[in-house]
Order: sequence, then structure tokens, then C-alpha cells
Amino acid sequence: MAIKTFTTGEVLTASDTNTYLANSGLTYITQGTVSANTTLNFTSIFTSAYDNYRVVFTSSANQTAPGNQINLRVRSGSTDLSTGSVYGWGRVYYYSAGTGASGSAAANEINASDSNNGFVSFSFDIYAPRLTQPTSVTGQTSAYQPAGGGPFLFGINWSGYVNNSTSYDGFSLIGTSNFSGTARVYGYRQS
Amino acid sequence: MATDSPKYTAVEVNGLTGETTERELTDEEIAALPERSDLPLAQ
Repeated sequence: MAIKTFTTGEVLTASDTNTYLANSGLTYITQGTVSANTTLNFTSIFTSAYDNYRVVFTSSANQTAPGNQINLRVRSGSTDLSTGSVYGWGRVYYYSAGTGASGSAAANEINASDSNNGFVSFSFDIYAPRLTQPTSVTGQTSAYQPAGGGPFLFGINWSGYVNNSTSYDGFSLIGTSNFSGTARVYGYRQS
Repeated sequence: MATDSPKYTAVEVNGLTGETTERELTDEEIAALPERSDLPLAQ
């Protein structure tokens, strides 16, 4: 529903403009940049202002080790959920030589990308991480793999699940080797 | 000849303070890093 409906000839005031900026569909929250780092941790970013969030990760360089994956974990305070095998994830992928699918129903992370020395960008929605209910994730990844039998361009559609009712206030992106890029976090307007 | 161990580093973004910091991972955090799973993407 619109905050306000303007009529012909009406003046757009500073107050109206600020109201619209504060109530856009997606509201920027924060960002973080890694440059050949292992992890990118976001702490205390999920609040009562939003139930659902969009994260956009833009790569800035090829990963420097073969077989590199980037994984997602939720976190509470400064601690990742890294045990208990309560994560589930699944994906389908497609590239010039075929398609495939893989996943796990009892993991300690959610896999977001996989490539050899890849140039990897992705985005995902994370649903209700702060509520005391299971957290769900849906994402999509573009992974250019220049080596290891490539060049290939992988498209990956993936989903994840955290099978508990814990409230989380942040998340981490974790490479199995170093990775580089910027992740921006947005909140979905509630109404 | 000795070789350097890989350096594991984290970038921390704190939503409360707005600060971004970089640090080395602790031994506990390194031990908890995901292992690369055996996945069927083309290699």
C-alpha cells in the first residue's frame, strides 16, 4: 500500500521525500568488503525492523585457490552456528556441459558457491532469521570458472534451511580459501 | 625449507557500532571452518 498518493500539481515536500526514502521496498542496512580474506562476518544487523533480508555479494577478483566454495552460516552475537548439523541445503546447477544437483540435509553450513579459481557473485534472501522459528534462504549464484577444465560459467540456484527456532542477529560468509568482494545487506519493507 | 601457514582473516561488520574491523581468526574459528565438500560441479 502506498504511503501517500500524490495528486496533480501537489508539491513534493522534503518531509514526503524523507518518508519515501525511509519506506522504500528495500532499505539499505550495511555492507562489508573482503579482499583476500577468509570470512566476512555481519554482527547485530538483523533487527525488529525487518523480518526478511536481501544480501547481494559482488565479486571483485577471482578466487586464488582451486575448489573454492563460499558458505553461509547464521550467527548470534559474535558466534557462528557451526555445529549440530542443523543446516540443510540443496541446489541445481547448469553450465555449458550439462546440469546437476546436490545438497545435504544435515550440514554445518549452507553452500552458496563452488568453482575453481572462480569469479563468483550471488544474492540471496534470508527469511525470518531473527524470529524464534526456523530460518530459510533462497539464492542464486553466477560462478565463472576459468580453470579446472573450464572455462565454464555456472549458474546455481540454491536454497537453505536452519532447522531450529533460535533467533539470529547476523550471518557469515566463509570461504574454503580466500575470497574478495563486497556484500550489501538490505531489509524488506514490512508493509 | 619452512613454508608459511595459510593466514586466515576475518572482516567484521558490526551493525551496532557501524565499525568494520579486520583480524586473524582464532584457532577455534579455524578449526570450525567448513571443509570443502565433494561436489559434482565440473573440475
